[in-house]
Amino acid sequence: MNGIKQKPQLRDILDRYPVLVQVAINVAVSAGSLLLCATLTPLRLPGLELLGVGVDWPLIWVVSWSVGRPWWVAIFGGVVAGLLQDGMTEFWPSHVWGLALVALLTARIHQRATTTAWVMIPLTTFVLVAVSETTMAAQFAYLYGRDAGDVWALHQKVTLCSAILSSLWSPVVSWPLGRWWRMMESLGNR
Amino acid sequence: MYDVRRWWGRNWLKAVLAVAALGLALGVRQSRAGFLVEAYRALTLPLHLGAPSQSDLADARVRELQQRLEEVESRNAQLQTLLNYRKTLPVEGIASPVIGRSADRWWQQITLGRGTADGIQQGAIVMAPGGVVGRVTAVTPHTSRVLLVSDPGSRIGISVTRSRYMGYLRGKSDRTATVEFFDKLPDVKPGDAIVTSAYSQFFPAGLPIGRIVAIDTKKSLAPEAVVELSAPLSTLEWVTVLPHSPELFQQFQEPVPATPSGSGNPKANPNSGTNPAPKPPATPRTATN
Repeated sequence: MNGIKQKPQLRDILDRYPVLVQVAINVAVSAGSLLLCATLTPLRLPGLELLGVGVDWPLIWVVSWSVGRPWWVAIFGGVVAGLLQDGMTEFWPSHVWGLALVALLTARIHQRATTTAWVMIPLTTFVLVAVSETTMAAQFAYLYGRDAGDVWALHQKVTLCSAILSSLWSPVVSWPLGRWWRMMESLGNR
Repeated sequence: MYDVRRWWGRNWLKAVLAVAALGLALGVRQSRAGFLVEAYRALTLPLHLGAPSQSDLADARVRELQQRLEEVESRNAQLQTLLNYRKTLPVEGIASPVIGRSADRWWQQITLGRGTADGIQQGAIVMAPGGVVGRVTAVTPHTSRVLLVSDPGSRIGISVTRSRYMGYLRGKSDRTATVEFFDKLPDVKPGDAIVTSAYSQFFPAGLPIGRIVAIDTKKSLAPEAVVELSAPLSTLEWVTVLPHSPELFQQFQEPVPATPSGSGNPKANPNSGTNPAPKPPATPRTATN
């Protein structure tokens, strides 16, 4: 084209493969990124920790996953991520409720995967961390018999630290995943 | 029927993937995310520490020894009355590096880099310089998950070394914990050392936990005490895991508790009265010993 040889883009390379291979790669990237997010939750490094509170990687993944997807697909991602996090901590109280709610809200707020939606992800994450942590705190205080005063005092600290850290770190997960899923969408098999 | 078949023709792949994802996630959850934790260990292997730095832990070690000494002195006074006196021996433990913290913000947990391959079983007791850290709640071949004593969900039966009064300890997600006593008017004061009691289900008796820093006698049912945990839970790097076995429980045998009213106090360690008044939590060392 115009005598200039263009470097082949990842999209063009993928386009040459059959649809089933594309789907398989997409599933591997989506599932792999979620597993990585769940696996890294026990990690505390300088910058990944504030007053002993770490980054909520599964929540960032769920927010990224839910942008521009139908609500039931979004919730599905939230449930899967919640089950993984339950496995990493304790089964009850479950993280499934909070993450499913986060997924539903993200899908409602960002119904289309526009550039604005992706730019807004840190802000969305900041707000939705509060939703997710409140769901956990409510379960602890009212279903699992912990002292409500202690739980809500901890809730304040946990929510603020986690919201700040998670929103700052959210682009690390959401930017590459967002680009990947938009590319898959343009290939017709998101 | 036709609609269902048409939907299936269009969406079979999505449906199969969705069911597979849900099934796998459930499987991971039921297995306590064993392979994820193993993967975490493999991923963070370059970050794991070498030998523990002794200088950092010296302070906590001094505190632990002080508490152990107090416990032993108090126990000695009571053991003189017992015929079947058994000497307490140090139990062989498994040194384990701490490779991760809790996977969410609500549980006070740590992940250790040793598992069943090194002889750790569920229920094992985890100690650090300073005292009790917690107990193992899940194990994989090379990792184990520990519920810390600072978790509000871990309740531990305790006794006060000086007066042998009993209660239970509840974590507060930080370096302090609260103790509720069974008695209405227990003989406790700031500075008293707290150890696990013989009625503790998961821990052998006599392991040091912490020191009382404040007492709230205005609680309606029973008085509450604030305890500063002596193990440095937030900066742990290496811990010792003691397998949960009958031998362990025998070695840390608790003497018969003295009757709470009157008789316990005169027999108690005379040195304990010299414990200084409440000190700030940062410097709980006593200068009198």
